[in-house]
Amino acid sequence: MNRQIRKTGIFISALFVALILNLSWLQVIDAEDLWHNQANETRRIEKEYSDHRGAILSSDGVVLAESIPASGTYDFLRSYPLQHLTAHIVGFYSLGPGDVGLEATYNDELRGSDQQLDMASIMDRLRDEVKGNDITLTLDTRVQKAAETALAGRKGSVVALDPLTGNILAAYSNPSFDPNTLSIHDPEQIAKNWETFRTDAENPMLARMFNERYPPGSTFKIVTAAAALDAGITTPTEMFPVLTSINLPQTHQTLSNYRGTSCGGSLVTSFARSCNTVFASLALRMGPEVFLNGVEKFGFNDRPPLSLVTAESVVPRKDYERVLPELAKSGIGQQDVQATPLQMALVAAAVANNGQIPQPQILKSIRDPDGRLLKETRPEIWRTAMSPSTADTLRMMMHEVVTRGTGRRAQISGVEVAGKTGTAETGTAPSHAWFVGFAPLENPAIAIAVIVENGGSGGTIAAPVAQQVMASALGK
Amino acid sequence: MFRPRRAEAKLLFFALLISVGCHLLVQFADSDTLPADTGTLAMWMTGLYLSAHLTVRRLAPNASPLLLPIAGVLTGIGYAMVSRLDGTNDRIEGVSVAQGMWIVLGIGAFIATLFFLRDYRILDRYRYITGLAGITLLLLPIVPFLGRTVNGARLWTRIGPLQFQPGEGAKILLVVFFASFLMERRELLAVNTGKIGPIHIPDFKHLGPILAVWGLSLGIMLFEKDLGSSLLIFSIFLSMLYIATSRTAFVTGGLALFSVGALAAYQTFNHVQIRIKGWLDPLNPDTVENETYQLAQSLFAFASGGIDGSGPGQGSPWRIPFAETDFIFASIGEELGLLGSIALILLYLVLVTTGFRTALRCSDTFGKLLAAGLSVALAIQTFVIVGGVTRLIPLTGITLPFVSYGGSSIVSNFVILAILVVVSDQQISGPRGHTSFFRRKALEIGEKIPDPLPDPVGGST
Repeated sequence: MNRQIRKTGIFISALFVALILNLSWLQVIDAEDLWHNQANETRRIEKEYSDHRGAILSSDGVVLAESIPASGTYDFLRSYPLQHLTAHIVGFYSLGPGDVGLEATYNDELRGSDQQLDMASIMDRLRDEVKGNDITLTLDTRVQKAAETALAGRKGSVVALDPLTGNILAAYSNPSFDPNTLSIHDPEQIAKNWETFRTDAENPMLARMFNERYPPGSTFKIVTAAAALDAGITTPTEMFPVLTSINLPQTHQTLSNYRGTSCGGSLVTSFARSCNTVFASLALRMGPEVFLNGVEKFGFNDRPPLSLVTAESVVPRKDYERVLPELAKSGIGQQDVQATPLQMALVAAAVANNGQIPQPQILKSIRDPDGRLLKETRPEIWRTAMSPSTADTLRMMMHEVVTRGTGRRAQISGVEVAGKTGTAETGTAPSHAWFVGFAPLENPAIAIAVIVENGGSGGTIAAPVAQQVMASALGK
Repeated sequence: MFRPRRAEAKLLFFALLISVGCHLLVQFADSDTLPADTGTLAMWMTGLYLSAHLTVRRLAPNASPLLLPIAGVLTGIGYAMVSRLDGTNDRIEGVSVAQGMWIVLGIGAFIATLFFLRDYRILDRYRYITGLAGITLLLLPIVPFLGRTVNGARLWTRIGPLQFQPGEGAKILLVVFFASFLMERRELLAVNTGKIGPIHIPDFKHLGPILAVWGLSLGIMLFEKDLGSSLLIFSIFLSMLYIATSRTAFVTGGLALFSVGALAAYQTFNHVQIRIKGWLDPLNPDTVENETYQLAQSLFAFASGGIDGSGPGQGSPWRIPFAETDFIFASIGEELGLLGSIALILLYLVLVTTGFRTALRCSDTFGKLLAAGLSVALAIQTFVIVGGVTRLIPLTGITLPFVSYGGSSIVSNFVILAILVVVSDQQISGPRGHTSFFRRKALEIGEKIPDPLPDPVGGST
């Protein structure tokens, strides 16, 4: 009988071993998946809300997001001291809609769950003193503030970055919203605020500089010119006939210059005066393949590798041989071309940086609570848009635009500025006003794209905005 | 010389430290000051454990020193968890006071059992009364007006102001009855007299009781929707049958019978189908907010606990419906982590193996079967609920011995503990004269203790 009792005992022990193995699987191996299961969101956020999340700081040391001790259900309240100013970049950390922006991108780092498991952090864990890491951005609040001021409440956006490193200095979209209204702890109030923002016709939660696509208009002539110069089918000194319009192939359509003026001369002059007839002709002369290859070298049809949600700018690869008029119109940044302000800022950066587009960066560094550097971003080249000599030519051409052409209002006293204006047609609504450019001409420190939606002429509306933001960044 | 009672006293001291410590940690999670009731709690627990210990010292001086301290630490951790969950929602308001009362009653029942059950063999005399009482208790919830359905299962009975789960008491009575019945019939059951095809079977009339228990289990499953008790009673019976007769055929046959019943239940009853589907896919987005919500929340609790847990009082185990009873193990998994949950499983393992060792060393068949049966009852009940809340097996509602909130469960488990203590004491001071615990241990390592009865021959093992 003892034999059977022993066997039963062994069987029971085996069952208990199975329990232990299953528990180990559940609490260690499967735990990560379970934790991130959709149905576990409330518990996850609840736990995260009781952690001391790290802060988000600007490059000039201003707090953009921090967790402050709170009483009530959760231990900490996420606070955004600059309110609407950096809302589209920093995003928000919310019980209702979840995490958005950098709060989402660097969630693990901010929570501190990405720390190295050294002895000190294990002890911290045991003492329940986990504090998240602080992240510092490349963003400069002074430039950001200048962008907001310059836009003066008009719908539109500004992106400014360092053309050598890709560090984003400012990225502001108007209208904006106050993320503090979504990081509160009252779920009903969050839902109400969220609904207000979501149904607002002005779409304040849209990060226009990264995610809204517009026809780039004449600013796109930088791309067309670069593609043509790189392909060797034109030179800066080539003379173009002075015309008011050209006939488009395959149809009886014509393509006119801005307001029907006559326009032409050397490539440099045509660029400075933004002659549609010249650049449409250049697109036709290149043909679809050369044109599209040149355009894609700038990053079109691809998503800029930023650690935030960004839309890709597009020029569709369609059979332009059959619709050459559309190729001509695309060559002047209308028709099929759709670009984000970020993409156009990168176009300016390419010219400023000898033809190379830096990878856009928003994160500068991550530090643990003791101030030790965990991660630092290094500049990287995203792609090569054109040859250095073409870039050199375009620098000169863009400088000409600001000194003598359509972009004179972007001039800053004591600084040589280069740029290109754009007045993008939108059909029936007023045109979008564009300016893309960089400064100073030698040793560029800032590349910029400005759009004022339905603002009118790029030279009168967008160029002054760019002027103010660049002046602020250059300390003028 | 090994003094079991001195060892027990030392172990109980640690059980007290852990229990009060766990309670303190829970309280500290909410405030930084020492909770006012700590002294009272420590006094009560010391008083309770001390009186239990002194009773054992006086009435069962040679009993195993492990049983009471393990039950003590399990009860203490359970109490800390229950009081931690107290007030986290309206349904579990005031449970800590009630649980404290149940623990007092449980220790009282432990002492009373030791007092009245000086010799466990007297239980053998009331064989049919205990059997009948057990079955009656089991079936009570079906009785109209008395039975009450809670959380989908009809396992509560209300008589006057008293509301209890008769299944918990029935468990003990049935183990006693099985032990007594099997002791008498084991030889008859082990002998083959018939044959169906190539399979040798015992006389058909001896199979009757097996079929009766099978029917009883099915009845509980079907009419009370109490899958847990059904599985528990059938597995207790099967293992005791195997221990008594050494015939694995009974086990396989019994499992086959149970499977047939379970399969029929699965096809007929919606609640069984829901349980199985929930077991297979608890995180299905269609059911995770309703039918499988409880199990999913339990799994999330274990996951959020991880290796070291959130710390007592620092998790959110109240998200699991019935976290204080059937799902208390998930609360422990969340707040004490894998380390805590494994520690608890190991405590149960030691408790159960101590029960088996008691059965091994016991000198008479009835005592062997009784101790083994009660150990199996504790083990299977633990396995069913822990396996259920961790999704190892389909979920069936049942309490976690000593830890879950609930009077019927606490009291009946302390009675089981008392019976094991009595058996473990009498195995030594019983008919074979006085042998020290230490010497018995040496004997057991050195030589196999012969069975009081030779193993029946002719079994199919």
